[in-house]
Amino acid sequence: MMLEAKNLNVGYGSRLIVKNINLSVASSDIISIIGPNGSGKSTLLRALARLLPVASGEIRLSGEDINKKNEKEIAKLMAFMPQSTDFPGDITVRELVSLGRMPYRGFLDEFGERDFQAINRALELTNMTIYQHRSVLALSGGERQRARLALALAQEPQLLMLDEPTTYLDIRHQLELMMLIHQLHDDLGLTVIMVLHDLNHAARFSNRIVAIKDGAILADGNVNRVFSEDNIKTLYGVENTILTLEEGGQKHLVCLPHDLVRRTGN
Amino acid sequence: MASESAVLRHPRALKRRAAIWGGLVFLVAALILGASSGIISLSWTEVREGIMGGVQSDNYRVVYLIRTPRVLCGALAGLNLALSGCILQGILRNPLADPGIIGVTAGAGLFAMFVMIILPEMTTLVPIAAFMGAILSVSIVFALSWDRGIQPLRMILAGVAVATFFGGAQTALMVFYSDKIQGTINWMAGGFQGASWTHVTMILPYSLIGLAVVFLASRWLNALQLGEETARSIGVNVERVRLVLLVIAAVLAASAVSVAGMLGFVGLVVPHMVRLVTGVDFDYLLPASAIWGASFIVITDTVARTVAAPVEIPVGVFMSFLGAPFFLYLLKKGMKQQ
Repeated sequence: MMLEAKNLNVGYGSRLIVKNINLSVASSDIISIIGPNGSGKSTLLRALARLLPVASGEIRLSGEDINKKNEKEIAKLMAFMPQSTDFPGDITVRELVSLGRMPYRGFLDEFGERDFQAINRALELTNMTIYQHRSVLALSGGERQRARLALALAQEPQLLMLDEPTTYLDIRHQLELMMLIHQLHDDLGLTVIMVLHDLNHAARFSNRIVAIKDGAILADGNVNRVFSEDNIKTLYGVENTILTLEEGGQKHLVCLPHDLVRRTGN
Repeated sequence: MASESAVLRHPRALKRRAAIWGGLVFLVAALILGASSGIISLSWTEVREGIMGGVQSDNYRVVYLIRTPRVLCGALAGLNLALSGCILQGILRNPLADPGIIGVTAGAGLFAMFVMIILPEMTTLVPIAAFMGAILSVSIVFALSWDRGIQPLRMILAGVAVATFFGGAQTALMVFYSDKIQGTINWMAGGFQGASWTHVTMILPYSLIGLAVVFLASRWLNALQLGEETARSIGVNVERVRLVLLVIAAVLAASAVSVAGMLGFVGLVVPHMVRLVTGVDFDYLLPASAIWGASFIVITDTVARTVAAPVEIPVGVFMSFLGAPFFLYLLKKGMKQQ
């Protein structure tokens, strides 16, 4: 088991956002976490990436408690790509990606041959090699996300976590990034956990969906089982139809939300 | 090889080299100029003989006992202030951060003023009192901004509050002892009049710490520029790194303020100017800031004491008049490029 959360509670102050979640991630998984705004899906992901302190319960990465393990050792196993659009200002793509080698460098070490290989490979995998000497400020939205992905890949992680990677991108660049992530999963055997807003992306590009509502898991399993009209209705409060479209010899599940669920009673 | 070509192909490669090597040459020139010029003007040979030669010569006394400690004090104070400002700007990710923001200047000012006004017979203790005052107010600011590590935003607010409080105490001292404030005003303006080898040895250890930071901590500052979450994701213990660097920035500024008085300008502007040339990569920004901070103070101090000789213009005043317009010029130029 790659990553395991047991009875996980996470919150800010006394308010719990993630309540008693149990989740096991296998190394072949590519998981999408879906759920409405404020459901705690991002909080869950950030806790799994040990960016938030755990209120109770534990998270194990390859069998070891992540809040007790050395930060650098964790950074060699997993990388997290936050949603923020923060960039450090005028640095080149290559400089940005080089920072991904941080966990491999000792206190006095300079970059070695091994680091250059990893940096070059990360740039190649994300098709950023031609932009490596360009300032990150001069990149388009899609290129920026690929540069950030290259930073994560330079860590040579086994587990990649992404928090809404396609936000702010147009549909072409969304598709490009999602296909790239899926390809990295297939080619490198990367375990992927991502929070996605676009349900159709979640259905197409993951093999497992975790649906979160009010900080708890509503459904967890393979796409065909979780991606159902009932689950989407409960999760988001929308009347919806799930269609199966065939395109290019592949079946795609597509969710069309067509009406709001009328709230009766109170 | 891959590394070298990547460094060379960087769009700022040339500018970065120029900033560091040009800065070093400029610093050496400034030090020599500082030691040779003054009311008694000496040639370089006389300066050399002054240092190497007989203990009894007048030149020796001027060069070795007065001018050399003065230029060295200036260089070290400039180095410490510029590094401190550079580190603070990096941690707070705010180009307007300077050593004043964490309360260094307010605390040092109050304690120094207290000694000068209440205990005038103990003025030799002023640097030590200023250092203690700086450390005290920084400690208060850090304590107020602590929540599982120092929180940058809280630190800025706590810094403002503490500076206001200490500033109020300074004003009270000035009002109640208005007859005795003459000497303190000079100190507040900042300067190196009367800097001796004692002052050099007071500030030198901190400069050495600062230089160690240049070589060891630039990668941490680079990582922090990615934002807290990404920095953590690449294995940086953000709280610990932030605390260590803030403590170093605080003692660097405190040591400089204790011997030089209020020279706030250097910590704010020098790193900023250097960044316009080198970019935000701290591997280059830190050493270049240190070099230019040192040369900037040495050169302005030299000009300030010679241009209107025998009257000395306080270097802090001179620096603001010289530096602020140059700063604005660089900013405007930088904006046009973008």
